[in-house]
Amino acid sequence: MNITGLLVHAKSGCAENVRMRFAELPGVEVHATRSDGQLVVTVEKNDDREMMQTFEQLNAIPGVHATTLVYHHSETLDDESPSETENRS
Amino acid sequence: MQDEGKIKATARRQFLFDTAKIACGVGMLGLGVGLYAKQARALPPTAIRPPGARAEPQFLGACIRCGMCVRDCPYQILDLAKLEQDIATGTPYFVARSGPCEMCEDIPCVKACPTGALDPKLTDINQARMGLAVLVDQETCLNFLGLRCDVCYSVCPLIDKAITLELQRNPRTGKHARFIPTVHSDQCTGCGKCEKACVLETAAIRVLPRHLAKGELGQHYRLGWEEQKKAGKPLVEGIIDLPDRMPEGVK
Amino acid sequence: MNMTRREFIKSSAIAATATAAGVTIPGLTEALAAAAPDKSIRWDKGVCRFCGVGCGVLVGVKDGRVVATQGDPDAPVNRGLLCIKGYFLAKIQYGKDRLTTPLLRMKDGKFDKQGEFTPVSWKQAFDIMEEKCKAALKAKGPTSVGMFASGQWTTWEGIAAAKFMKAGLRSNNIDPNARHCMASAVAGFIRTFGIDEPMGCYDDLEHADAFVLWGANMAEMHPILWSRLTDRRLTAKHVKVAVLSTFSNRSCELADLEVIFKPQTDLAIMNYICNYIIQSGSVNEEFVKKHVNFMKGVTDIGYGLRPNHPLEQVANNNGYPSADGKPKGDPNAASPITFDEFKQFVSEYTADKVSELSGVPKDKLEALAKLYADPKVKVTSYWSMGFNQHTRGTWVNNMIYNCHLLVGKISEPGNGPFSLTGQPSACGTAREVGTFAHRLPADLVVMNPKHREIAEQIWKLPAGTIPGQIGLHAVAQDRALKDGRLNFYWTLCTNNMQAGPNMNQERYPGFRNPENFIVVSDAYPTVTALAADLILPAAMWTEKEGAYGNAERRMQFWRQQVKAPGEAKSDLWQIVEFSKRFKVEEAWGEELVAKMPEVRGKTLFDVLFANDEIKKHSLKDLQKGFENDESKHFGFYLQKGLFEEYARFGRGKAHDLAPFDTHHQTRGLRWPVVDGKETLWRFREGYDPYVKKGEGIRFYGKPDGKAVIFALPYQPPAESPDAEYDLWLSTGRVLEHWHTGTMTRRVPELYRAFPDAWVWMNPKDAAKRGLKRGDAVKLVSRRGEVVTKVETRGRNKMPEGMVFVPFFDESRLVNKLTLDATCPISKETDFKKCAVKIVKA
Repeated sequence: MNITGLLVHAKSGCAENVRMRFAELPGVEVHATRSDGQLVVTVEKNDDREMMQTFEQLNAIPGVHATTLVYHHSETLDDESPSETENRS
Repeated sequence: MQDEGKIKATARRQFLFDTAKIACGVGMLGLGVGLYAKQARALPPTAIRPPGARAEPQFLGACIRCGMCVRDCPYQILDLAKLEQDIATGTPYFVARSGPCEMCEDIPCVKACPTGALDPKLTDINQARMGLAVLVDQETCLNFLGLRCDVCYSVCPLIDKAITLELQRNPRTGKHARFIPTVHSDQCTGCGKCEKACVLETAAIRVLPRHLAKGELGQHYRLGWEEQKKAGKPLVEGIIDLPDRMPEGVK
Repeated sequence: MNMTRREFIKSSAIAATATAAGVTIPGLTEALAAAAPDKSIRWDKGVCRFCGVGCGVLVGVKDGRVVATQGDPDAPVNRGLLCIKGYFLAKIQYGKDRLTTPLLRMKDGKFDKQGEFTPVSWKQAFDIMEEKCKAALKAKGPTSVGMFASGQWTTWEGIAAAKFMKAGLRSNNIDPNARHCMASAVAGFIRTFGIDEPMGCYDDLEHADAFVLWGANMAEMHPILWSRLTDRRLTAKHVKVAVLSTFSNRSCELADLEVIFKPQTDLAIMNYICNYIIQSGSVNEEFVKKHVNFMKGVTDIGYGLRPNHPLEQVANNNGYPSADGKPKGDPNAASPITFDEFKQFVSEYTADKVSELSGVPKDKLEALAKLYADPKVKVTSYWSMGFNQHTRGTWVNNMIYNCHLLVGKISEPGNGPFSLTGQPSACGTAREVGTFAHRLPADLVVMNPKHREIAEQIWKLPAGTIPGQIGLHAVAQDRALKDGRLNFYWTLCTNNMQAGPNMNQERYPGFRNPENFIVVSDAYPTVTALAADLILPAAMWTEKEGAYGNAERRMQFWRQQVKAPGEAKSDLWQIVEFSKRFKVEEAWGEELVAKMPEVRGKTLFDVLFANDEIKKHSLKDLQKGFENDESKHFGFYLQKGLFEEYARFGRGKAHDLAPFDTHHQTRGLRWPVVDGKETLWRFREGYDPYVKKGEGIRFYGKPDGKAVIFALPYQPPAESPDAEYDLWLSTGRVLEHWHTGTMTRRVPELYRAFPDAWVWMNPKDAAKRGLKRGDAVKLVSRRGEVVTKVETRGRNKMPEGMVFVPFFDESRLVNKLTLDATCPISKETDFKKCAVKIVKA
């Protein structure tokens, strides 16, 4: 399991559109939107590679100024097969 | 095989998310994803120079970034700093927690250095002073807590010299001893084996540059017992004492 | 509020990101606080899974998983402390390669000895086991089936196994890995005192004035006891510590007297001590007169090697069959002598002679002897594998008692010889329950018809069920497998392929012998499991209800805390369930069934495990809120039933165990538990309820109440270095790893702390061979070779001519090199002495 918390800056006026586009991507959730266009987002993926791909997708969405990684946690849960990365090392 | 190991090691370091948990906080605001990736990859400030490295300014002056020391390290622990790192680009370093110096008896990295940035006069690896191990956190060190870990001590190439276990009573249990790991700066080479082996999630013992790790006593003060030992006699001679009056039979 | 780990982490991610943005998300903080990890952990008491010290732990369970452990702050042994292995207990059950289904070697859908391991059901697994076991029984009888048992089993696993083999299949071919560990200690206790296990306890640590370590590196192998010993040394300034070893180890750091002796010369040193005690007039004459007999043991006893070995052909007391079929003497035999004869016997062990033989300076020998001789000094002696793993292991155990008995320093606080145990339940399972090839519960033995009768009565079996012939011991099992005499073999809870001696020439060929079917039960794919034909996945540690007995006679219980993964089942379940596959008629034969016709048509399960005595303990007695998979499967409280039935052997016979439920309520009790009280020091009036008022001291294991001092000589080892194989090899453990590393090597932090077993050697020996630290080398013995690297630094400092390799590392199987020479009495292998050479790899 791989979870990140991202702060996304959207162009003013684009926040709602960005929010909707984000909602279409699997594993991406928007938890709060600030009036100035900042979004609190989490991304849940199986491994680092998928996570990187998702970041690229997010950045490519029109209206996204910047994405900032605030939190990252990865570990193997019981219900998962071990991924390449060890437990939080 | 050597090359293969090298490539793997580099790939590992560059792989963004091997550092599992990054709580960047507000300071990171405003950086794009491309930038933060670079930031997350930044080396810890505990990068250590190879054995025999001169003081940092002289070292930087002498090192021609040739990479010969890196090539000749049989354990492939040395690396050259890259462009975006906050270490002078192209200079050699290692990180204790990921790969400590194995302290080869024949010191191939020093032999390889063409300029003397790594001092060729270093022929006994035990005299190397790459850094200094410091037990930075007594609150999590298992031995301080009374457990019998001993790992930093056991892996020390100069066991019983550079790290000793000082014995203390464990006042909480009243019947066990605590084995306090104690680093001796006159022996520690800063190889980093202790930091690498520390079993905690985050090491309680770290190798730091010696200037950060070592205190210095004021020039105006001397340790009386040390000076007396050095002199082999009291520094002021001829001082006498008179007996105390005591009741008979009491000594 | 219940939150999964995934939800918890996600909430943390949201919280951190929201904080960074200065946004408040309602309810999030509260949700996180409610899910704070510790609040929902259920804590219950347990015992450390590793060594024989027996540290108490608390096990924290959340959502069906052990998530945390801690040293039990109220446990009398360790007061909340643990060693580095104990620190990682929470991780040992969760290695990524846990076995979760039975695996059978198959080709084209059928069992094939050359096939690949293929997942099968428990039914398929038991089907093939039943077929192979019954085929062996039919072809060659009960001597062709065998089991390798474990000192890491829970007490009831040992009971079930011993009963199944000895009373069910009627084979005494069951022997535990404790044979490699404690057999010499057992033989020593029985020969000197007539009753197994130490008279003292860990409280000696706070009372002794001097400690003498004989072949025990307590600093690494018994870490928590070592911290108690160190505290005593620190806080009582007069306390002295002497450490005897064949190389300088961690324990030497605390030593006031470090004695490094040449291998095998401990025999001579102990005779010198006795000689010194006598010559200096320090014998406690009153004690000796009242409480001691003197005996002289036979000497020509061989080395436990195969009978065709030259050393055995010239041994006339090795007990092996001679040309006429009769045994050649008895290595255990001894005849009475007088004190004066003993005095005469040891008189040749002078300081000069012993100093030359052992390489120990005379002043050190004398200082050591004085500790024993001085009547004002209370001495506790500790030993473990340096003594026990010895071709004269029984003798050295007898001889340390000689040193204590001559001066009467025994069976009182601070004074006594104390045998340290290697495994967590070598005492509580392997020894007390009687999983050895010659034993029955509570020190009874199969050779004694009266003892068999007692066992048959308690187990409610027809007379004559238990065979009187001693079964195959560990090394003999290896040889019988290789020779095709032992054809169905089940090994559980131990990794003997890696741990046993001479694997190349004996055990591995035996496992792969096409005549044999090998079953291995384990939690992980060990070297042993991978050499088997059928692997059974085992539940481990807190996945089952358990009991371990530590070195100080302390029996400690724990409850099942979590479920085992997948199809893994406890060894208890495996043995008891498998017993359903045998009709009594098949296992016992008509003659025996005729003596007890009411069992006709029943299975071994009905007779051995579901008898009225056991079944009367119902599921109602289970502790609410805890699992007990075996009892729920079989329909009665199996562990309690087995324990209470077994406890009948020892109650009133100086082996009294407390009631089952009491054990669950306490942090372990030291037997004999009589009138609700533990026994700390045995054989002494006031401390031991079995010593009557006015007797003072009574060694009641012997009919006349007297212990035995044995006259035994120095003899050379089975193999010594020569011109070609010019180095001594000793094997052993390190603090960070437990035995073969099955558990500890799966903890990443422990792996990192000590990844590989290198060969420790003296820097001069390395230089002589053109080697330096870190060089790859090949260790070669007459039996095999191993490639590793040279270590000249670190915790062990080798004298010239000697090297040491730990055996935890499955990628460097040092037991390819070791010799399968044993003590001819205890049958325990000498892992500390064989000859090797080292060449650049």
